[in-house]
Amino acid sequence: MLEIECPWCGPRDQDEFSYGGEAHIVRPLSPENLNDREWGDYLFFRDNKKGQHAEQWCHAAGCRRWFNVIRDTVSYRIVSVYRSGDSSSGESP
Amino acid sequence: MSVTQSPLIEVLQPISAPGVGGGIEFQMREIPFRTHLNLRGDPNDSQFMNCASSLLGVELPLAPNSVTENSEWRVCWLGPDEWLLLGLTAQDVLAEFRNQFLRFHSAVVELSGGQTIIRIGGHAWRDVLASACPLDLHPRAFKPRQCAQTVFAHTNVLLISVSDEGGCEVIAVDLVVRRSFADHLGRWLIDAATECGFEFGLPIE
Ligand SMILES: [Zn+2]
Repeated sequence: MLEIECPWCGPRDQDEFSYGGEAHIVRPLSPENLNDREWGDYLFFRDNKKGQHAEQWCHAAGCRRWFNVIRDTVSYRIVSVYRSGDSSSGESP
Repeated sequence: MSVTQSPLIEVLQPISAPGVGGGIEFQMREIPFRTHLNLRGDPNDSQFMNCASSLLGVELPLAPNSVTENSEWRVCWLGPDEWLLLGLTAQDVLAEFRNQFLRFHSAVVELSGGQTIIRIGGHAWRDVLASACPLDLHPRAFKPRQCAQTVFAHTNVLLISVSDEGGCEVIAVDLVVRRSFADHLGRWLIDAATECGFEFGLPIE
């Protein structure tokens, strides 16, 4: 079980959260100009990184906010947590 | 004819049963039929915030998981732009609140019929709650004038601390639970409290 620090509520049990996949995936500005392979890449393909991975979590049973987590996929250690719209160093972009 | 009936009517009959050691260390009762309103709005809009405090007579709490209250309302932080307004008496205010709040980018939703409150207390309340709740309930973490949305027995609950008269110590907790899960939660609490002895239906002081 992970203990995840919600940027609003503080440390809470993983039971209260839902996982939302890789973070910072930008929707293509003009999808109509993409071919099927590029659109498929955007929709379905993720990095599956070994090491520090930026991912989205939702405090589903708590304040119901989405936020970002940098988690090490080898050790499961959570390196940092930051609100949507902020950068991983904790400052607004 | 329609009859207003508590969702816990079959569970929380006045009853008491001593525990393994012969004592009664857990108490539980329902606080039914209160006003529950969900309010959403922009905390950076000072006009919205002023409107809320003049209608309620108390400020909307801005610190996460904190509670403000007066003699009529208890206001719980649910999110950065979301609050639960609990009327301490039954109040018919929805129409007026809607009129006032809908001048802003906001929403008021009536939840009174959709959820109820179970108050638990007694020496063993932390142990009973911890049997199926991952929240840190230690006095240094769960303090007076605090609330927390979490899970208890796989059910979403909002916990609200109830303090002693001086407001220094948490002596009981109110669990705000959805109506359809109240029966399940009541039965789970009965099962969890069997060991320490329980008493239901009586006022908790
Ligand atoms: Zn949260």
